[in-house]
Amino acid sequence: MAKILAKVSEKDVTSAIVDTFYSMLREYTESDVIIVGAGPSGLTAAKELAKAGKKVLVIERNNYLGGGFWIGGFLMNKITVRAPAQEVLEELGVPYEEYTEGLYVADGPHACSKLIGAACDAGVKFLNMTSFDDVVIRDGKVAGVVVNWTPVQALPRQITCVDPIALESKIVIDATGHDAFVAKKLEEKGLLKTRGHGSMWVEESEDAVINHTSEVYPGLIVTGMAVSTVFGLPRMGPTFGGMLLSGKRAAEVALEKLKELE
Amino acid sequence: MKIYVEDSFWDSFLFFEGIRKFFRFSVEFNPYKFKDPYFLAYIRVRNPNKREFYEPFPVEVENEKRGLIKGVIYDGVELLRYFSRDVDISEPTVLITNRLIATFGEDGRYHLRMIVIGPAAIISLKGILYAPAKPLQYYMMHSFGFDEKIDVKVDKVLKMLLLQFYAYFKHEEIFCESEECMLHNCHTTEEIKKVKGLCERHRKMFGDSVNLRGLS
Ligand SMILES: [Zn+2]
Repeated sequence: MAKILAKVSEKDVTSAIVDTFYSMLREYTESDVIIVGAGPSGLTAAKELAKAGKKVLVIERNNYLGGGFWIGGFLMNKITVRAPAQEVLEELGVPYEEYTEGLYVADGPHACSKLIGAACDAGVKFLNMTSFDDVVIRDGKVAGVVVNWTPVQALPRQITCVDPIALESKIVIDATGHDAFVAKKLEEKGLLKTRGHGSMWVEESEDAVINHTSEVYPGLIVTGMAVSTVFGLPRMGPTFGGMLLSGKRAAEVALEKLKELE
Repeated sequence: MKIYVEDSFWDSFLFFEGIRKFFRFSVEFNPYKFKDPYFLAYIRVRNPNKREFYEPFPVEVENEKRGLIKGVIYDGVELLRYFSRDVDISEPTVLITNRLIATFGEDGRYHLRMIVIGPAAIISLKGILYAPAKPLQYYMMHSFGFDEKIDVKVDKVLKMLLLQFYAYFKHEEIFCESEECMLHNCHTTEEIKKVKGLCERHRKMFGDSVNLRGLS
């Protein structure tokens, strides 16, 4: 009987994984941009920057990429965006329909997988199951991140005793959602003061998130819900358009900053 | 009465004629511009449970200069204090703004406001849409991402608020118990719908000052 799959040894499989992973890791000890968090805003920023020819590494603490973008309100896997964010869906090739004037609906799995695919196609590299631990600061500027395996970070330090590693970059983007882990780390060091996010609910807060997507400390850009935490903006509803457009804005800001550094 | 309208939406302000016809005395309209973007960025509400002001980030001052203020909430008391110092308030003076304003309550929380009253007043057009509580269905639909239309007659509420300030300024009258009276302190869109005109007592006080036709 003919074999369907080629015959390879177990050790070849292991070597293939180890070799390629570690050569990638070695190459990405230094990037143009490191993005922490692979939700809709982080992925969009990553895709845009890679498309512009930048070397981009995304850190994600979970195994899966996409954050909350797989699913909409009440665990229903439809995602909604408001105009003009449907243009981003259009670019990604995600089918959508107009539900009411200016409000568009798409399938969460379709939108999320297309966005991840587009980021990969653009050349973005990912370290998933990798948690942000600390920032690298050099000459008064954020110059990278310190990371560790998520399972290691989840265990008490006295059991694991595994030190984290540092990865350098010209710019770091905090796309960690409401937690704003990177910005909070700077706050711990007394370098930044975040305002905590508001619970007053205002429809326009999506606009505010886009308008405030910016560099908040030299070398650190915030995007997505992290913006809301850093600036103390009101809460917003579950439409994802603001996240996608904030990601785009973060990429624009990063490109400007990279240009200044050249 | 002097009514200032923030210059950013002076051109799109729809209520000049309605307000002029509502009051039987003369109303003077003027555009108004806040001159200090840093101050505006400084008095933003950051945390609903704390009245605390922060040194603004550069982007916040920049956004103020460019008028990118959607979704930003301001401390109404500070905003009014600034406005009251900036203009002559010897006669009743109101600023109508498109900014969202909130005041810190005795319950230790900020609440969105339609109006903040002091020696002068600030009325928030957006506050008229967002501040009054809505029927439950509105929030249900909204939490699913649907744009439910807000069921509020803005011109009616605007007239109510202007009259409330006028009553306070002239007679130190604060709010009326009668649910149908324009001076009733409405907290919900349903309460606003119940307002029909002036109660008997307030008709005696203000019947000569206002023209109630076409209100409801
Ligand atoms: Zn009355």
